[in-house]
Amino acid sequence: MTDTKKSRHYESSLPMVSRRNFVKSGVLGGVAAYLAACDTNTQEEFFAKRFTELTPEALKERIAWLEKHYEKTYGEAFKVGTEGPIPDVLFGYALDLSRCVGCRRCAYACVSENNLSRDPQVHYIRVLEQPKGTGLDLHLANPYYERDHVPEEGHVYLPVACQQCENSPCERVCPVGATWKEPDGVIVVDYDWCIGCRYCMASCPYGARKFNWGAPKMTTGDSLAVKVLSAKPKGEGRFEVIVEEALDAPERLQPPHIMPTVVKRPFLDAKGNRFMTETLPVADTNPAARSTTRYRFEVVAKEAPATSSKDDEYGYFLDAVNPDTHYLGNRPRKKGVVEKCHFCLQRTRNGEYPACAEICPVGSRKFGNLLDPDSEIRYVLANKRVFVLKEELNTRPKFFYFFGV
Amino acid sequence: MRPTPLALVLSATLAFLGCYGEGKRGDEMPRFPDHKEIGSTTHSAANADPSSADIDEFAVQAKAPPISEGYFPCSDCHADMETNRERRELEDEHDSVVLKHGTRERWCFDCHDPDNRDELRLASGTKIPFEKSYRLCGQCHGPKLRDWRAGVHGKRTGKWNGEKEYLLCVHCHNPHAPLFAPLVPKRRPRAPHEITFSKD
Repeated sequence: MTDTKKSRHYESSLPMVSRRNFVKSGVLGGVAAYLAACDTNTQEEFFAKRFTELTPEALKERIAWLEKHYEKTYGEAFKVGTEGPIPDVLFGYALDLSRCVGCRRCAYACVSENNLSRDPQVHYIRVLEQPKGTGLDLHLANPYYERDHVPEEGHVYLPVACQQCENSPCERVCPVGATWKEPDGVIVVDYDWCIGCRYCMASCPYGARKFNWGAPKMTTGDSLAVKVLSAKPKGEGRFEVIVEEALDAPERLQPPHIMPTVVKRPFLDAKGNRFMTETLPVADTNPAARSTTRYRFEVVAKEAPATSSKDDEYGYFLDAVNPDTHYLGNRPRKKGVVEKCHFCLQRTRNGEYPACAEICPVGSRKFGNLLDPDSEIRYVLANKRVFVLKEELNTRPKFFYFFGV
Repeated sequence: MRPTPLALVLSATLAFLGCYGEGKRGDEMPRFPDHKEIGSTTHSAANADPSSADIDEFAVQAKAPPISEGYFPCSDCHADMETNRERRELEDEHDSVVLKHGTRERWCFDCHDPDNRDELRLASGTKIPFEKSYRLCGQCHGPKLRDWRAGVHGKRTGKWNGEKEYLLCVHCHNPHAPLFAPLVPKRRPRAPHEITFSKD
């Protein structure tokens, strides 16, 4: 009897589908249907391989696609670099706590240089203000301080970003291997491979990792920047320009900054004329203007930037997106991935200082090669009182704090 | 041959003494980075006395000295003028200079050369151009000069692994009133509950 029943049962289910296969094919079909409905961009992003697994040819193809994709999205030519670590280099950073005044220029230089999202806001560097004499009780620290002028009497400032730990918890908890330590000591993220689980954020004792809650926006008009006070011809298409930062920009606007001069990127006037900045800014030499935000630098342009006639006219805009990028560095991210400070890979692997170090008005930020005994950073380690944040956690940061005085 | 216990003790003592001696030497001679030269010759005299070594051996000056426009060369006006060495309040010219830098102890001619205004003057009487004004500052601020040479006081731009650009002391500090004026900070970041974004 039982045999008959069994055979009848077999007969009735002609192509036998196991429950597992049914679910599998359903899911695969769903994904395929979703991808088929998506544009080619999403498909390309979906099938992007992990950076470390790309063959040189595949990487080349990927870069070409990315550059084209970014150019289409942001309307200007992009360079996505893949410069590898320099042999015998281990990057280290030192910050002079006795000099930092908490002006937050580093945080905004970073935003501009590294294409951080302005909306929703992402900052790699948080500057903590703390009452003097409280040691490192970080629960007393306030990153949201608002002051007319800094440094505020009786307070010290502690800027915190990624500490580039040698023993990095974030790297270890990543379930998909989307973040790792490069041979030059920088912890990087493969934005194509990150699944946005945010385990790394939970594991980081420094709060250095940031999540893109929305699609990052860089061209929001937040970059209203400077007022041109004067422009003098210096010959051969060069002009000496004095600009002033727009400190009292409307609430909606990102705090303006002197980035066009720092990253040597073009800035635009209202008509879309481009002015390429050439030299680093120097604070206006008029002693009375030293505490103001006037800067003097050179631009290359066909004609001189027009001076802003009215007092409240800040007619020059930063070119908001930085098209000079690195694959593991500041190339535009997407919604749902984690990002972090990478010591400005696109700059430092080409010998430049990170943007935050270059902009610091008090020169409290020092950067260099820990393996070079003649470097500035080694001088700091050898001659100054140095400490690392949360040493007891054995994360072994390569970001050091010191007292220069 | 196996080392005898006596030889071991002796070598350990020697090693200890060696370390001690080295430590002493290190204390007496602070390390200066002036051996880090880029495309330049070594000055043995300069190495012997680091305070007189020129920084442009290993870095380039980023900017000309910040002298107010139309004021240099000083001799344009001063060549025909009689030198008034009296300490007084300046009225007709240079009245914007407010001295807040050792006000009681210092006067113009402690730094500016009374005989040739286009130059500066060290306490020793040595004359130096404005481009080397760091030597003047270093007369009193020795440790700062040492840190500055190492690129640790002040800011270096250029290349971290190549040619560096330096700023003079006076590019950041007004020599007549060197204390940094307070800065206007940038806007605070948004707190988590304030973060908004437009949905696409």
